[in-house]
Amino acid sequence: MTLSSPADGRLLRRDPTVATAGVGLLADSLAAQAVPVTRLDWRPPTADSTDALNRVLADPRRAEANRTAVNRVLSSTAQLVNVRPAAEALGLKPGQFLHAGPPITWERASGPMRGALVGAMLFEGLADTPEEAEKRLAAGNAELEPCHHLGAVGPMAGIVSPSMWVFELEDTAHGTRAWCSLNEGLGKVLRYGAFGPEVIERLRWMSAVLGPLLGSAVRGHGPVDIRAIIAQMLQMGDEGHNRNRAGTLMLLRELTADIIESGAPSKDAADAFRFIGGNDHFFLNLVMPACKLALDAARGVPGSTMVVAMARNGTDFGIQVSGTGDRWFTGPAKVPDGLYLGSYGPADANPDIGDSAITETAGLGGFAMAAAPAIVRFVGGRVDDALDATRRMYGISLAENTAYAVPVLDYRGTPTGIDVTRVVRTGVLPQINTGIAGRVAGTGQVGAGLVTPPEECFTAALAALARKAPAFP
Amino acid sequence: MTSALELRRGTYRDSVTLMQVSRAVGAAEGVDSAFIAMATELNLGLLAGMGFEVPDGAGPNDMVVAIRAADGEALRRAGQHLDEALAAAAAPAAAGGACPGPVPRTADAAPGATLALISVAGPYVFAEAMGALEAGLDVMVFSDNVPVAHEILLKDRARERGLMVMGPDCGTAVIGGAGLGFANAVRPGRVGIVAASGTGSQQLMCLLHAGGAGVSHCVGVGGRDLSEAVGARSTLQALELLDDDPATDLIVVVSKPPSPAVAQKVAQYAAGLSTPVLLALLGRGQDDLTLSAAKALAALGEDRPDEWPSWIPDRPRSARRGALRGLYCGGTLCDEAMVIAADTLGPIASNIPLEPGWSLPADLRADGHYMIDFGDDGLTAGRPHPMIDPGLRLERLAEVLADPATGAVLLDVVLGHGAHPDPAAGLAEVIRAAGPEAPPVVVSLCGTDQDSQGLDAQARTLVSARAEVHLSNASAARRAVSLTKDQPS
Amino acid sequence: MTTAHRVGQAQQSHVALPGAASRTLLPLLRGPRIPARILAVFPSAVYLAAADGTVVALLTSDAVRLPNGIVVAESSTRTPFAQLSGEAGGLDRQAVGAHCGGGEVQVGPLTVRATRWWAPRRPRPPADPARLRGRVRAFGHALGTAITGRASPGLPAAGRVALAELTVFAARNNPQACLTAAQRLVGLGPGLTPSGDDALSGFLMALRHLGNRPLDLRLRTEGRTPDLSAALLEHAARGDGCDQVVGLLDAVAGHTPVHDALADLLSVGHTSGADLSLGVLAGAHAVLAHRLETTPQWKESL
Repeated sequence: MTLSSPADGRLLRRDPTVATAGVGLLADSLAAQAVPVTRLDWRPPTADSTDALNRVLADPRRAEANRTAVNRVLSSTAQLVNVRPAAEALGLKPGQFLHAGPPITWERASGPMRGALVGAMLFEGLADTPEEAEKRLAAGNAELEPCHHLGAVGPMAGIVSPSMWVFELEDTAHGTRAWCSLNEGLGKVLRYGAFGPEVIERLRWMSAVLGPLLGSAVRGHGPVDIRAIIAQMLQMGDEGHNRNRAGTLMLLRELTADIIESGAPSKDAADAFRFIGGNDHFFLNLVMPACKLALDAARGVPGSTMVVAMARNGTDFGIQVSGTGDRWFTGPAKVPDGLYLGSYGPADANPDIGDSAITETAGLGGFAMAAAPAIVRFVGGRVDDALDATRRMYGISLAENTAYAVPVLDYRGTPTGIDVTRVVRTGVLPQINTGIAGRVAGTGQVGAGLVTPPEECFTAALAALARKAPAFP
Repeated sequence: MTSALELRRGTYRDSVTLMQVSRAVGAAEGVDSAFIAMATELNLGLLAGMGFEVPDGAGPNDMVVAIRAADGEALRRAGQHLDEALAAAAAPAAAGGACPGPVPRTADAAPGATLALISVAGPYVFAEAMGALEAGLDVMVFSDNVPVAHEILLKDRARERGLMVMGPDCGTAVIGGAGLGFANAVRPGRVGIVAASGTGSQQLMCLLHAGGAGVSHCVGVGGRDLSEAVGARSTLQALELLDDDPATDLIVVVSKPPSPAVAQKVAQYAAGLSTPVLLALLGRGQDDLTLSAAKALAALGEDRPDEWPSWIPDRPRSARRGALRGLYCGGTLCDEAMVIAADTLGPIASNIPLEPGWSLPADLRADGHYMIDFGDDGLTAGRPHPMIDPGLRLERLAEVLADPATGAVLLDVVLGHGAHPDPAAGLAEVIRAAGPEAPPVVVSLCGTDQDSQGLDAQARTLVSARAEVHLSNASAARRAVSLTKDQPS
Repeated sequence: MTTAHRVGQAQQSHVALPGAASRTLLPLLRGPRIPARILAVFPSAVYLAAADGTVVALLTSDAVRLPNGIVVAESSTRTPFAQLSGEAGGLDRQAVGAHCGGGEVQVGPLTVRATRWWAPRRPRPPADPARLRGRVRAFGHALGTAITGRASPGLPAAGRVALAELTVFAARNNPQACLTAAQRLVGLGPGLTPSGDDALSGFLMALRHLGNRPLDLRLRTEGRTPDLSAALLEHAARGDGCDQVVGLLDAVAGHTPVHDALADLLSVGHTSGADLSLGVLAGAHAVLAHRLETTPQWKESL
């Protein structure tokens, strides 16, 4: 008895339960016959994508390629193994800066991206004043490179300079590493484009005290299983992008003894506890590289339609797809829809920015919104909206990550692995939870909200996949 | 007594779940004790208290599994229970809570769906059908205008997965008594139908029903399945399914004229099955559907009716000189009527001509005998099928009835699921309005006493307008031909 | 007076649903409208006994599909039968009228019209009769494992003895002794479908479909077992059962994996699935033993 025998066909052995796409009358007729019917909310893909969609769906490699990609994501691990300077970990030289999103030049960079670069120049001592920094940057005296190109990720502007300390994570299943900067907290911070004296001072303390302290604590502790903490935080009301409160506390709990035992002055240890404990987003910078490791494992599978990166530089939104190598498919970043701090409003908001959408790409953040009902009030919705957001994302995802279970959905795994074909077929765009940076350089955070990628990223990726697919027989 | 200790690294479950899992495993026969927990300090202490050696390097993110059982077999069973219980704890619930969630956009997201019924425009069919197949659903494609390469690929992929693609251009199927698309309500029974023709299978089902037999399933395969290119992919699969179906004692394959080579392939395949197969492949010189139905009834040992049901008005309209005009909704019924008429009357012009030289011009008008299929693609572009929206045909009927060159009019009326709720009423009104001098009208009424429109009520409405009604399309066609033929022209 | 008032209110919120009816209900539903008695109401099922004695199961789409069922498209989470139970969750059976016939089943404010007919599914005959013994042994092993785990049958020891005797007498073709043993199973155990009846149903189904040996026992059920159970026994004697038991027989006959089919059946009811499985196993043994006639080998597998 082989499974492929058509005699195994179940058509005649199961009473039909029907999903209808198209003419409503046919569904009416079934309902009148007491046949359970779901009327699909079908809508045609854009006219110029139809042929590409058909060709990619016909690609005989696709199903197996996507299974491979999914298995790699699900089997990846993420151990925090070290904290050390970016110069050492990533080989960054003075004058080299990593940034969030797809490649960008100073000319096209947005306010917060420019502000963060200015701040980083001041922090590295490459300029004495913001004006000087700006002049040097405009003159091309700095080398800019996306974090993603070096296996790193950075929230918001995502600037990493050589003297900054980074978390180093390892995927023991695939033998790969990923890095992310240390989180500075909220408000006026470099990643939101602020570069005032308090910003630079904080960065100096992080490099001088926090980084070395965490480094020796982590080395003393031994590898910290970040995925295990993520699994637990989802059951404690976090979604891993805009809410990281439980994750931060669990990390702190994990490292407390080792921080104390690191031999650092108790004043430094106390400052570190105050800093981490007072920053609910501290753990975001560990969720992100954990997601990066999972998705990097799925890169480069010929025929796979899985998205392996979504990232924004404040000007462009870019995605990368497993089956199309390292190529970016970009479109203009949108302004998030959300709530604003104080007197700020939509006019103050910069378009979407940051590598943090790597969390959504790996099935967290907006995809795990149902796990974090508390967050929907922050972004102006009801609890049902949170459930619906996650449920909608199942429709464009290839798999469910049972390691990341959502209690309110009966412990269903989070939707994982965005499928380019499903996005184009359904017109449903990935849901991203995000912070909102001020448009003007130096402002900092102005709010938080929801955003989606521009659709053209996906139609362009689909067209590229179609060109790589064999011709329709 | 034997025991096992296992450390599952990086596997997190909450403590409540694990306590339930421990209890379930501990309750299994032959299991003395079971302790499944996250390896926290507290739990490791409990583990040591149970006499287990605490595993090296166990941390609170690791799951520790400790089982003590009577023997190896009990231990193995306990392991099975453990995996089941952990999987069950992670499994999605069959039906969610009170909040139904967003309306799904793709068939794989429809709860419990086993079959996707697709009627979107042709170019979009492939994506939806492929998505449904990948989710393990059988597919029926009602749409036409699907490229033949798409059809072939879909059918091949379906077969690899043990699934069925009915269509494209599949108007009719009956699965488990449920009519999909256009279908008549028939009693469950012993005849399984493979349908490459929608109205053809409807006619067959209605005649079998009238003859006292019933239908197990009618598996549609699409109008193009018996073409050279598609090579009966779905037909062979449907034959295999029906041969394997305990409820089916006889299989009938209904098709419009097939490719001869493919017809032979089907005949050969059918000969190797354990269930008898009757081929009802239409064409000149072949059995009509009524004769096929009679043969099927005979094969089942059912009494073949002496005469198929008909409804004749008390005062039929008198025959008169003129040409035969057929106005059909069902393509196969139209085909069958043309084959019968052409035997006696010679060339029948049509928009779906039997011979290339018999085409109707674009305005669909001619002096001699002609028949129009209003369900043909050329006439349904941008409007619903005439079985749903009778407007276009009604207009033409009024015109034909008023035309002094018309000798007799032949119509079909198709009842059942998906069809117009009262098709006879509109026709009767037009026929009545044509006045007492109008030519005679013969109706082929395809329906059953279980159809919601009511077979008898529809027939009576037509008879009240002095139309003659036959359940058998072949009988209706012969009657219309005789009304035309007997008149000196 | 209060009761009448409440019923009057309920009738105002009349609900009509289409239903898919088993063809075993054709004579009843095609006939004239006659009164019916409500036997039980559950979220997924309402059981009725029509005045002519026919028992009807009005079912939601997710209920176990019984051969005397009329099934609506709604699932029990949509609770189409909610309004049949009163505020306290119980039904005032005297106050709510029920009728069958004229193409429909009506219970109080709910009318279900048969708009589609289906035939209860039948298993395929054994694919390769020579290999039936091996399949039955595998099934027996799988059932043993399952029963020692979670799915415990409700059949009491006395019932197991009766079932074993029934197996022996069926193998020896002794209808009179069969009837005596079977009669001891009728009504044995609590509930709407007592364990003894479930086991007997499974036994009769297996005998018919695995061995093509229908056993006409003329069982006495009147007053000995609930009406629903008596009706299901009659269906089983004619070869009809729920989809899950049919699926198991199809699997034991060699067409699908036994493990999956058994798991499906074991999920039926509290103990019904396990009891039905025991009956199927006993029936399968009877078929094998009868085939061997005098060879005593089969005894070891009992």
